[in-house]
Amino acid sequence: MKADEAGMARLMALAQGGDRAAYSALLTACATWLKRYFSRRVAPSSLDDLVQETLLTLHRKLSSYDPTRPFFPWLAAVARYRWVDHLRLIYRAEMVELDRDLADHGDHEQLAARLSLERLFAHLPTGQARAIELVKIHGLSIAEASRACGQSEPLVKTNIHRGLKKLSMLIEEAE
Amino acid sequence: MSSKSDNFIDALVGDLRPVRAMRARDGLALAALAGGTTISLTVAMLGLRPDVAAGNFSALFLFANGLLLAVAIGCTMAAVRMGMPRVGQSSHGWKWVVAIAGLLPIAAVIMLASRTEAMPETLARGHELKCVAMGLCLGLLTAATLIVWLRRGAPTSIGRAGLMVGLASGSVGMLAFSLHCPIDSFYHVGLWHSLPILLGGLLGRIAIPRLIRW
Repeated sequence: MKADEAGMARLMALAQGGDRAAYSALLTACATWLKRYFSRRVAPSSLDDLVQETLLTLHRKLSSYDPTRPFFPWLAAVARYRWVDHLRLIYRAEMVELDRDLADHGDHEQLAARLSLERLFAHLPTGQARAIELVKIHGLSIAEASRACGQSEPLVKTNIHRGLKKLSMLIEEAE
Repeated sequence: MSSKSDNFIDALVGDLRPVRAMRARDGLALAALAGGTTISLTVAMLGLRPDVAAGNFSALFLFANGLLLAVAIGCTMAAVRMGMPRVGQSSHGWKWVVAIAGLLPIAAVIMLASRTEAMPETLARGHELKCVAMGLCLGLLTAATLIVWLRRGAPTSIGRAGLMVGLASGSVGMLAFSLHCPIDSFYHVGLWHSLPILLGGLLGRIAIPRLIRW
């Protein structure tokens, strides 16, 4: 189904009331949306796990959505939180394909782009974003990342630590 | 959609139970109930300070407790909002409230350092330490209420949420004890009635994140 704001907000409100058919449709649409949302920023091998972790979080935190508010900004906040958590936990991952173009995915992707993870990364200093990208997403070792970006190994570690800390502070604020 | 994913979604659907959606007004009402209970019990058990009981209010009493109330409201509102995440939501209002409230201890320190007024004989006696301890202890009900709210919710900035809970509970606790504390000196109020807020914020920032992580 196409994930439009009003429809998703309505399904979520029904799900909070215990409507299983609405919840099934909501989760299916969310799974599709999340796959696209995460696809540029996690290794392909981690994508399904991260989508499932986020759906499980949605399930556990169902009550934290206020049905009088827009749905996608809530889902994006939950997804960003899980993503930053994922970056913290992962140390090595396979190379990720970064050349997919969001423009092919239709009008509702404009909303996805506004809430996207790229926007979150854009708030980091270049050195921190590069260190996180190389080590946490591309799966390079600290030494390999150091050679690739010209930062010393301690600086790569410091930039990852500071960058992840800053990302977690920006989850809701960075549009 | 793969069958593995379908099975996962089916399991979540099978586990669905109706939930009560969180709304900011519910969180604020709970926090107000906790704060109101704390203040009522404090007054009932310890009594009002004599001048207030007689219907007289000093300017310092009104000004200092007005600032405590503003910090309590600002930080409580921020903590409640943090339980319901949303990209595009920013809550910076608390910073202004805390900055304005910070003028009180800063002014007290300046007065002390410049000896603008006669120095008190001792800065810290038993009563001063009692104010700090009681301010922190009386904030526990508010802290517990906000922690339960945040555990039910999904705060994305857990460090900041812990800080908000600490600042809010410290200011509610100190506000409650201020209704009993009879000392009306600028040094005492500026320094010792501000310290529980600062300590509450520090404790909240350090200890609460592990309680609300999800």
